[in-house]
Amino acid sequence: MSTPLVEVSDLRKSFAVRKSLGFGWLGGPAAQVKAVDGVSFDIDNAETLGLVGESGCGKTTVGRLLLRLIEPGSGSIRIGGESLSALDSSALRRFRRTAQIVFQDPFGSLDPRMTIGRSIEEPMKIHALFDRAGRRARAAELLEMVGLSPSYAGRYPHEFSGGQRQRIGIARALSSAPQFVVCDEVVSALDVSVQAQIVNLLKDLQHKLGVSYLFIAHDLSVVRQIAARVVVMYLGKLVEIGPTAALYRSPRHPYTKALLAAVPRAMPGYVRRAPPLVGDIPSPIDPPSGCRFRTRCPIATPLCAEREPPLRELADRQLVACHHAA
Amino acid sequence: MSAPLLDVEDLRVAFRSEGRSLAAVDGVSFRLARGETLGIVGESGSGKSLTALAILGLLPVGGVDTGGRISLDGRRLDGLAEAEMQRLRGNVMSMIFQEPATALNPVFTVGEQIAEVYRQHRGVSRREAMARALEMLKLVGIPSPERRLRDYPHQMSGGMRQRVMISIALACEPKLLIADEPTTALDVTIQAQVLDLLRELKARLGLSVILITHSLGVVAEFVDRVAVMYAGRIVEEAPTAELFSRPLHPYTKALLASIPPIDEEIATLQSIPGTVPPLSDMPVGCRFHPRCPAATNACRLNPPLLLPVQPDHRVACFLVSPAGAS
Repeated sequence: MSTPLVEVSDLRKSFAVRKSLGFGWLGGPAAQVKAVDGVSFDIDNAETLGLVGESGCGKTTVGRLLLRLIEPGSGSIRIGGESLSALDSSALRRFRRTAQIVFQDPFGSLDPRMTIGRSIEEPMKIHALFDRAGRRARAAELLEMVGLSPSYAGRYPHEFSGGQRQRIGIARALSSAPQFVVCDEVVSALDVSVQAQIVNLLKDLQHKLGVSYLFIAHDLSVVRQIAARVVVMYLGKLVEIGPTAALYRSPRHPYTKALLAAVPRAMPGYVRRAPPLVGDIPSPIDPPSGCRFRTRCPIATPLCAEREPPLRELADRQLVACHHAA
Repeated sequence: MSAPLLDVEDLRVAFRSEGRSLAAVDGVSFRLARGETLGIVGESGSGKSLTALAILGLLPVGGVDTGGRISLDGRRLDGLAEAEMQRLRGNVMSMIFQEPATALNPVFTVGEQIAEVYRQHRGVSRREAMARALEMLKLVGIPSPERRLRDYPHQMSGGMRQRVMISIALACEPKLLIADEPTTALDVTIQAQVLDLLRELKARLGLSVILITHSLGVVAEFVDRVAVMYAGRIVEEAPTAELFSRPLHPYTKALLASIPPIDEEIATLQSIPGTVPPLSDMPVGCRFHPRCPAATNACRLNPPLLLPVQPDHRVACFLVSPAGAS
C-alpha cells in the first residue's frame, strides 16, 4: 500500500476565550476551548475525505490546521511525506503551492477590484509559475476547465452569480496545480440546482487531475455524493470514521445515527428512524467529562461520564469512539 | 367548503429602477385553508420571502409598487393603514425569520421581548405579560424557563433563540404563522427539534402555517400542500405527496431531480443548466423557458397561466394539458 497523501495524528488545538459573565463586555477569566482534541486520520491520493459535524465540532479548525493557516497546539500533520510543523517560511511557501483551500463564500474571498483573470493568476504569480503570457493562457484554460468562458477573464466578481463565483474560486485554488484542496462548505451557500453543478465539477476535476479533497460540510446528503470516506466530529472529537457507503448504511456511533436520522428526506410520509436528539450542543468551553456526547446520548451509562471512549474498529475500516457501540 | 383563512389574488411586488418597474413577485395567487400548512418553495430570487413580507405589510415603503388583493379571515389587508397593520401583526398573524439572532433585540431580556408583544396587543399589566412570557417559554420547551426569562439573546444557542422567536410570534395566539426559513440557520439535530415543536404547536393551537423554504426535505416532512415558485411566479401547486410523486412542471421536475439522495451516490447529479435570471432581465413569456429542456416557441411569447390539471393540482406550463382538455 502506498503512503497516504495526508497523515494527521493526534491533532490538537485550543483557543483562549474569555468566559462570559452574562455581560458581554465584562470578561471573566480566560478559558481554553479545545476546538480540536486528539484527531487522527489519513487521506489517500485522489481521495475525497468528508468531514461532517455540527457547529462547534471543530471541522473548520481542522481544515485551517491542515493548511497551516493556524498553528496546531500539538500532534503531527504530514502532507506528501513532509511534516508541516518542520517547514520554515520558504518551505511553507513552497508547500502552499501544493495545498489550497476553497471557501464557503466565494464573493468574500475574491478581491472585488481585481478581474477574475487576475485573481486566478495571482497564486501563479506568487509561486513564480510561468511568464506573464503563460499565466494568462493558464487562467483561460482553468476558466474553461471549471465550465466558464475564457472571455470572462476581464470581468469583475460582482458580474457573476454565486455558482459562477464558486467556479472562479475553484479555478483559482487549482491554478498552482495543488495535490490537496480543502473545500470548506463550498456548496452551502448555493441553491440546490447549482449545488449539483459544483459537486459534479469537483468530482470531474478529481478524475482529471488526481487531486485529493478534504470536503468539510454540514450537509450529509452532499457529502454522500462526493466522499469516499467520512469523518464525523462532535465537540472537537472524532467520533466515527469509515467508508461512506458503510457508514451511511450502518452508522455505529449514536451521534452518527442521530445525525443521519435528523436529515429531512424529500419523501413525503417518510418516518424518521430515531426521535431527534434532546438538548443543545454543550459549550465547548466546558465540555462534559468522559464521552462528550453523553449528555445527549440515548444509550449513555455511568461509564461514559468516567472514561473517554477510545476509537475501536467495529467493521472494515470503520472506527468508532463509543463504549457501547457494536 | 368553508372560506379560506388567507386568500391572495394576483399579488404583484415590483421595484422601481431607472424608470422601469421590475416585478419580483408577478401575479401570485393562492389560498390557505384553516389549520392547513402550505409550503412555498423556491430558490434564491423566486420571490417567496417577498410574498410573505407583502402579506404582513412589511415591504419597504419607497420604490416598491404592490398590487393585488390579500384577505385574511375575510378582511382585506391590502390598502390598510400602517396603524391597522400593526394591530394585526404579532396578534392575528405572525412571522418567524431565518436568523433569530438579528430578529431579537440584544439589549432586552427574552422575557421582556415576549411580554412586550403581549402587552402591546392585550393591554395587560407588566406582571401578567411576564407571566405569559413564562408560560410561552414552557410551551416551546425551554429548560429552566424561570431562569431563562432573564437571559439576553446572546446567552442562548441558535436553537433556543428560535424557540424564543416562536414564543414571541405565538404569544397572542395568532391564526396565521408565516415561517421564513425557520430552520435554515440551525444544525440538523436542532432543526429536527424545532420542526417537531412547530408541528406540535400547530396541532395544539389550531394554527394555519405558511412555511417558506428552499429545502425540499423540510417541505416533504412538514407541509400539506406545496407551491413551487420560480422567478416571481408560482409554477406548480399540489398536495405534498402528489407533487413529489407526480411533478408536472419542468422546473419542479428538475428541482426534485437535483436533490442529492442521502442513501446512494449518483455518478453525475442532475442540475439545472444556467442560472435564475436577474430581475432586470426577466425573459418574456414563461420565465423558465431559457433553462427549460422542453421549451417551444409558445413559451417565449406569453406567460402560461396556472391552470388545474386536477382540482387540487395546478401547473403553469404550455406543455401540460389542463383538466378537461384532451
